[in-house]
Amino acid sequence: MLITVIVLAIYALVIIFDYLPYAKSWTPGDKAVYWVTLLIGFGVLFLVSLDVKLPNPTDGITALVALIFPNLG
Amino acid sequence: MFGLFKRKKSRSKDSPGRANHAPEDGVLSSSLAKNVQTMEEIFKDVDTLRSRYIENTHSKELRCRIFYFDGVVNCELINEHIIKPLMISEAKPSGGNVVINQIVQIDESKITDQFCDIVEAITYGNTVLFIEGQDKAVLLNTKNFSTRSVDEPDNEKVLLGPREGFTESMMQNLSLIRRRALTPDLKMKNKILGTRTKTKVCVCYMDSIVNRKALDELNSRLEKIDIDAVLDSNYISELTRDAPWSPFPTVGYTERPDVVLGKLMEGRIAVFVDGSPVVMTLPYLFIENFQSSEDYYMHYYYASIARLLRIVAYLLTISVPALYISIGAFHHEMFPLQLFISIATDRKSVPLPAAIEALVMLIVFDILRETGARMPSTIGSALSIVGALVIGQAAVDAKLVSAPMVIIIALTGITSLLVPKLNTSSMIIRVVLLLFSSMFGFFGYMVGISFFVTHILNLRSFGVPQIMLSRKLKYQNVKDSFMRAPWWQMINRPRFAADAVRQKNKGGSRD
Amino acid sequence: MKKEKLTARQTITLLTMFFFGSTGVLGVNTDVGQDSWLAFLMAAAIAFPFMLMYSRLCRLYPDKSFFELAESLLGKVGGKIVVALLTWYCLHLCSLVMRNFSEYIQVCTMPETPQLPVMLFMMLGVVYLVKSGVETMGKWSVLMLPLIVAVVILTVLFALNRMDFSRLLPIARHDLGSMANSAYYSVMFPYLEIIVFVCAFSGSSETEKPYKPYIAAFFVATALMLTITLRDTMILGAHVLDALNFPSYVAVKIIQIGEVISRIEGSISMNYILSGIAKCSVCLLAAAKGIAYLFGLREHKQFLFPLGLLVVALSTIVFDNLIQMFEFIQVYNVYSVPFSIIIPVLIWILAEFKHRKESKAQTPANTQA
Repeated sequence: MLITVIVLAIYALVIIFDYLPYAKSWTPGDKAVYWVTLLIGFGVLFLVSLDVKLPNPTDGITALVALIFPNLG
Repeated sequence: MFGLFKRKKSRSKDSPGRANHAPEDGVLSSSLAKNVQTMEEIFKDVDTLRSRYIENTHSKELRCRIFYFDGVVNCELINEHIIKPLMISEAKPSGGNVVINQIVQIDESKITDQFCDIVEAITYGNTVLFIEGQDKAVLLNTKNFSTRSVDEPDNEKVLLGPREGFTESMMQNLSLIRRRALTPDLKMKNKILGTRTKTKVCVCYMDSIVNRKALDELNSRLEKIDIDAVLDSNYISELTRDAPWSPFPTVGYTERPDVVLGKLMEGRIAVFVDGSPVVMTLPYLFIENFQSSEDYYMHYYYASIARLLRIVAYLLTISVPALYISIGAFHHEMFPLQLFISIATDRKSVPLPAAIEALVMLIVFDILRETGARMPSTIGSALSIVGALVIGQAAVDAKLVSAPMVIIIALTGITSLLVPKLNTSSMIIRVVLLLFSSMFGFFGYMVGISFFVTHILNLRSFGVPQIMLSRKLKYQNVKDSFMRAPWWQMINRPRFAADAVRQKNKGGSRD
Repeated sequence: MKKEKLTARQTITLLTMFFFGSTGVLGVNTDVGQDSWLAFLMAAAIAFPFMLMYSRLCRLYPDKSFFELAESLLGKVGGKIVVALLTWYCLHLCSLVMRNFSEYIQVCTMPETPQLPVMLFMMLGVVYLVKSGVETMGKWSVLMLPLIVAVVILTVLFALNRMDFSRLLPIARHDLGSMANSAYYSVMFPYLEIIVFVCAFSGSSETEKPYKPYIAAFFVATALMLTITLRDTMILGAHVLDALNFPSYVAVKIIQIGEVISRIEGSISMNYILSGIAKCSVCLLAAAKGIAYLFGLREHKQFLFPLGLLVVALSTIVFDNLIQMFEFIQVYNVYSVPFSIIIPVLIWILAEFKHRKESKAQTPANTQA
């Protein structure tokens, strides 16, 4: 619970102090990249703080490597 | 969030507080009566304005009236050198020029036809002379206001060295500087700032060695200032800051002429404000926070040790509470065993957690310090006994605070007094580092240190970065920073000045 | 906008801190027990030609960033693919380093603190550093590296009464195969991660002769890590060294001088946070520049905050626990090959061809004129 609140607070602070003062001078491309990275990060952190199990990129990488070198992983 | 630490864009706003006196913007007329009437309109409720009507005994056409403010003029000058010559002169009146050149015996005289010039001159202590039939008035210099005597400033005392300090009169301050640099290379440019107060400001620099970029930057920023009152150099510095939200100083302040001249000789610029003895010097390097003019008048070993001591003191004053909390709360295995037992027994009986206790003690110490600065000296000794012995001892005995904490905070407080210029920054950084350490221990402390080092490295002062790490660890670059090399080794000036050579040969009689 | 540049000295210090990054806390590979320092030296020898290769790349095209070079050599589509792969690598590496450090902090010093606030806090420092620009990063590393070196030397001096040279014996007992295997680990991590540094700082280093800073940094970093390995081996001995997850932490725990200086591992190990911040900031800068290049944005500084938080998010999901983190190292050896060996060598070979073509095209013109 505490961690969820911390995550929400951090994202709110970032939007208030880092986005709103400067967004006027950005191109739409800047804003798009900003919001996409923000939302992906927020989604993942929010779900992690609620103890939801998310897919692990390490498993994917290990599977890929196991195709070439079956003895590893 | 870090945009807070960047420079704000200047917002355009209406020019504040121009007193809307229409007659002040006007031009003189040829009629004496009309001019007098306009003057009375401008200075309607100002009872200290005096005036005197003068007629020449030889020629009936020379009729004049003088205006002056009581208290700021030298009455003898007015009587002997303005009124008397005007009354008994035999010259033919044909214009203000004749009046100045042949009749009135005053050193600085100016002719003007604008009422705003007249207002500015007369409020500063000049006398204005209106002549019948002329549409120009004559401004005569009769200034005589009382100023404080030239005394040593309280907070910049030295053991050995000059003891003059600046006063509130800009003319007197400029004279103290002018006397020490007998060269026309010392330029002094006047400016007027403040739309209501019309404060005189003077920018001084040595023409051949000044940092041109900083000078241009300063001039352009001074142009942009649009405030109604400038009472002190701090107003100017806050309006022209590079990093408006940073707690670190970006300009230097001093009240001593020898310090100002030393800085001028290094290629810096000094800004004098009329009405304040504090002079602003820029560009300002971070290492100047730790320098004192006394360093140059004492032996260089002493000066070097003193400088290193100041740097260590600054590090201590920001780190000690944070380190104590992080060791006490997270890494208590670091204490030696005996110390650990005694600290633990002391801490056990205190109700508050260590971080809160430290914060409370810091606040109490700041209160004591502020009180000590403001109270009259008569109750000073009583308060020190009360504060130190009674309250401190009683608080520890009543188990409100633990004895180690008192020691820590006392150490913090004493070391903070060693570096007064960084007082603001150390108050803030100390608390922030304390908070970080109480949350994350040593890790928090290290990240906090990294944070503040990054912030300090970002600071610039009028285009010059405040910390310039040199390319090579050359002696030239450190010999006036955390140590002070003897004068026979200081051949070159700091890097940002224009003319690098300070001494032609390795100075003195050493070969 | 004035192009920000690193001076030679700043390149040396920043690159040294980058190499030292997570090796300070994780230690070099210890599969071969008391010969791990020899294996490390072998790794350094193997990695040295790569340093020369990267310096040569910088020398050939000093004004172009690595991404622009990739695009000019491989065409628009090929260039974008390479940049995308490198950006993913930098992001992933940043999250791996973050996770390394937060696991280290949790396991060793603060077991009760949840990892997410620690990572967020560290990311705060990293993002502020990167946002301040390249020059500030350089100056910061010049100030911080002496601190780290001083701490390492201090621990060696303090540990002299606990170090035993006989723990290094017998030297070279293990056969070449297992030593080479162990050396391979050290080559991939940390040396060949220099590709990240090149991505971040190519085109903004001030020197025309990049050989000196790269090689100097290589030697300083090697010396530092060798010192740490030797110290750990001489204090702990081969078997303990092999069994531990964080050997340098335990080694410093043992230091004791008189009654006063004992159990100083809490403060000593925190210095390694500084090198972690340096490594993360370089990786983050490279990733930000990659993303800015991919989407055609002028500036990379705007979205540093969301990117940093994305890295924190990635580092929370990338490992389930500490054991997976240590098992991943074996996979990492294979996984990082395309990013740190194949792509850079390919770019270098193509760059050499192109440079040769260009200089041949120039010389006939010169002889004519």
